[in-house]
Amino acid sequence: MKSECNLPDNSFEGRWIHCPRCHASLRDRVLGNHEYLCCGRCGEQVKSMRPGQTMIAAWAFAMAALVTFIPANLNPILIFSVAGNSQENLIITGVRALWMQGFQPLGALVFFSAILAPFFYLASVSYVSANWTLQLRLPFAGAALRLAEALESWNLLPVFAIACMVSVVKLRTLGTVSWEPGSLWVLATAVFTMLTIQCFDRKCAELYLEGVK
Amino acid sequence: MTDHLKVKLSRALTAAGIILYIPANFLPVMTITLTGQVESLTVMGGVFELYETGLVPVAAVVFLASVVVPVVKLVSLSWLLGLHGSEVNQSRRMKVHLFLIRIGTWAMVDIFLLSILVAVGQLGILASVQAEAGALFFAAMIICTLYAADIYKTHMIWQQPMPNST
Repeated sequence: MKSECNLPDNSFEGRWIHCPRCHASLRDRVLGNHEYLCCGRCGEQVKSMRPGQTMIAAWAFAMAALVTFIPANLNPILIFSVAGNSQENLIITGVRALWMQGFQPLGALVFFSAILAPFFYLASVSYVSANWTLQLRLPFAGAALRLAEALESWNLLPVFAIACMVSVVKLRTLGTVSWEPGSLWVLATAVFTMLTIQCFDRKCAELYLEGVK
Repeated sequence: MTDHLKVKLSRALTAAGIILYIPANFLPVMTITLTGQVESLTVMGGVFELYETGLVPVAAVVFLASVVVPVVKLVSLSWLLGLHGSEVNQSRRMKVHLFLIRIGTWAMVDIFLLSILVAVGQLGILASVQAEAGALFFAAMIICTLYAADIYKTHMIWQQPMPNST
């Protein structure tokens, strides 16, 4: 597996460029290896010459999260029982219960942010980083990158994992609760998701896709 | 969409968030029925109940996520948008805005918590959990603040004030 990619460096000394985050003007310069150019006003890394060292890691974490996402959705997270009656709970059970009680917007919100958005985020990140890691030119990678950007803040599985823990604590006061394997899968997916967000280098992906087009 | 329109939209969303905050906190979020006892809980009530059962760390997490985060977001969004176009505290405003975007989604803990509780509370008379209207207002408030923080971009803090803008 190649660990370096040749990004097109079309920069030249002294050209005016702008910071993508705060739009401050700054002077461009040709970077040596392992150098990076930071915005003097907001500290954003405008460009760097350590292209995508974490991209392979991002790919691995995104794929791992995708794999653990399947059992996280198919196994019950916890079982709650009162006086001999028990009730299993999957992620989707909550969505269905909210929907049945007449709170369709809430059900849709939970469905979107705990199931749909994480899945599509992870899928598009692994698709985009596969491009880079395998030095491929898969179709629609640009669209996948935009999808990943749009969904990044809607990927709420870590928040969901916290909510699971709180709910167990809360249910203890009402009846008997037991953890089920699904909760571990949810936790694993949440951890992998957070690692993916940390590792995924959006700028490098953008540059690479521009370069191969 | 022009930047001017974005600022207006962001202001409108923040105002909507402030208005929605009131019913979100005063209406009950859920009703728990346990062996005949009926109990309605607001957001604050849920935190209080956790605190009283002696689970201080968990209560603190929920308190931070569902009480502190929305208030901080609404207050600092109004501050950011109120000072839009002026040259006061620009770099501090930028830091606040980046922080807002990072903490933005944590208020969703309450909605997820509700979804899990509603899911397990389907044991009929023995134990049932029913979602209440407060949850809708709460979710709407979160979405308003999320989008308000998202539409207002960091670079707009540094814009020169336009002669005819407010």
